[in-house]
Amino acid sequence: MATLCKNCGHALIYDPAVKKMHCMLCGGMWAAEEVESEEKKYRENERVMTREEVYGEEKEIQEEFLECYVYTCSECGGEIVIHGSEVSTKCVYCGNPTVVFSRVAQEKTPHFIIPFCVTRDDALRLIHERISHSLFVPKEIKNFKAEDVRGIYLPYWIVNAKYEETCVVRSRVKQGKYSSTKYWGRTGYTDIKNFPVDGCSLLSNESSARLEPFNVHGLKVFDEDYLLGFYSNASDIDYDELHEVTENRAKEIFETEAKHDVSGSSQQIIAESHQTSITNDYSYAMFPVWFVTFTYEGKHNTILVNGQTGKVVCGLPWRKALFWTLTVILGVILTILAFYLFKGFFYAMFDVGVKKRSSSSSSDSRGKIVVAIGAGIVALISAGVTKMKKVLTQIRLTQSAKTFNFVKKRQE
Amino acid sequence: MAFINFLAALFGAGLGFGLAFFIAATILNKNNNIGDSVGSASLYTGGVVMTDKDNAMKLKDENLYIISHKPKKPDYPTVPTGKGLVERSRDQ
Repeated sequence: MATLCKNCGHALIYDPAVKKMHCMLCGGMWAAEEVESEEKKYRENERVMTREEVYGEEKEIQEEFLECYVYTCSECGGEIVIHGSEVSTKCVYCGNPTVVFSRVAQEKTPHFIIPFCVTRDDALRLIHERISHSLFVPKEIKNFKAEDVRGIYLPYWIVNAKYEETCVVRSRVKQGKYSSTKYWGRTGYTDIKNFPVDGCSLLSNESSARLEPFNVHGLKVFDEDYLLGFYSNASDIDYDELHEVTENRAKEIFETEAKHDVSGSSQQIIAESHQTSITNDYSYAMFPVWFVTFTYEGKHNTILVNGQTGKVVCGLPWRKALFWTLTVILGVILTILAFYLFKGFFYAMFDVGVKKRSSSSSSDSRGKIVVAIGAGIVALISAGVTKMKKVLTQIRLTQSAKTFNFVKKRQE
Repeated sequence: MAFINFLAALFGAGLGFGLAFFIAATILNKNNNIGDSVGSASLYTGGVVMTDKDNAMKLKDENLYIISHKPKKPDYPTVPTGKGLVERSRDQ
């Protein structure tokens, strides 16, 4: 279904720049709530047909069409092919924005929606601004030309939950010269309010978590007209996944606090039992996200932009040669400085040139200092490796074929 | 003397290259890992309430503590578990 302009009959789209429904032909503008299509009620029951129902069983089916459904454009009668859980798209023949009404009608209607606030141009500008001064981002990426820029409303479940946990925390506590291991019992709960859980199974939970925060004060009562001109998907996750995502975050919040609540260092949870109860007052909402794709060195990359706040989320490929050259040059300079520093330090520590009988306790403390320096160096390298791993994980997510196909397999 | 020079060279190289790698990795993480944050805990919770604390536990009491304080199933209606697709709440 397309919502038509009251003045000229052209299809309307939602324009984030003016936050109104906009007719690109005559320039007419209306608030989404003001636009009421007479056809809405009639179309609520219009069914989406599977590919087999339309074309019959065929033995040779292209893999890309295996999960396709066929819908008829209400304006030109053309066949619109939609994938999996898509809710809104564009007609390939007449270009009109289309909402697959049966997927957001009656019991499937989202309660709320956060309309797009960031325009397509804003999204591209924000990406370019964010990466333009990055040292290790290749020039080709800094000047990338987007292949596809798609505004997609993602389904989210907004849940309230109670998380309870009882756990035993182990920590090292210093007492004078020595340290000992102590065990602490902690039991408690945390109430989770308005936590958004991504309802789209095709987008990784890690990527959707990084799109946060969404400002729930910007929620509006759902109206299909906000979808016009954008793509959107219906929820396709199961109850187990809803529990898992909520529980993981609540557990992280609780255990961080439980570790802070005990004294000592190297706190670790060594045993626990928990219970997550999601209350029945959860709601269904649609949140706006821009997906920007480009190709670099033959690999597809997808950058995400929060359509409400403009937060950019991605892991970008890096200039490996520059990175390692810089590391080696910096490494050589720092090694020379550290060599003279350690030389002076060790000379002083081992009392070279001073004739003095060393006791066993002073040689013991010297040994401890050497071990401590060695441990510090290992910790420094480990911290570097952890940071590097984080970057590589995000690059892998940005280059995920699943995300790319999620964006690409839509009608232009 | 030679031993001290060797030790200084070993530790110097370790610290020098370790620090250089850490600095480069930090810059890389800051520049190329964009949007590396999730919604803060304060957005979704008013805080954690501790209902019991045992500050003098012995390791052998670990299981007893967990069993005796294990959270109980709630007596109010909650969202089911399972492989069924999440549907709009019927309470609304």
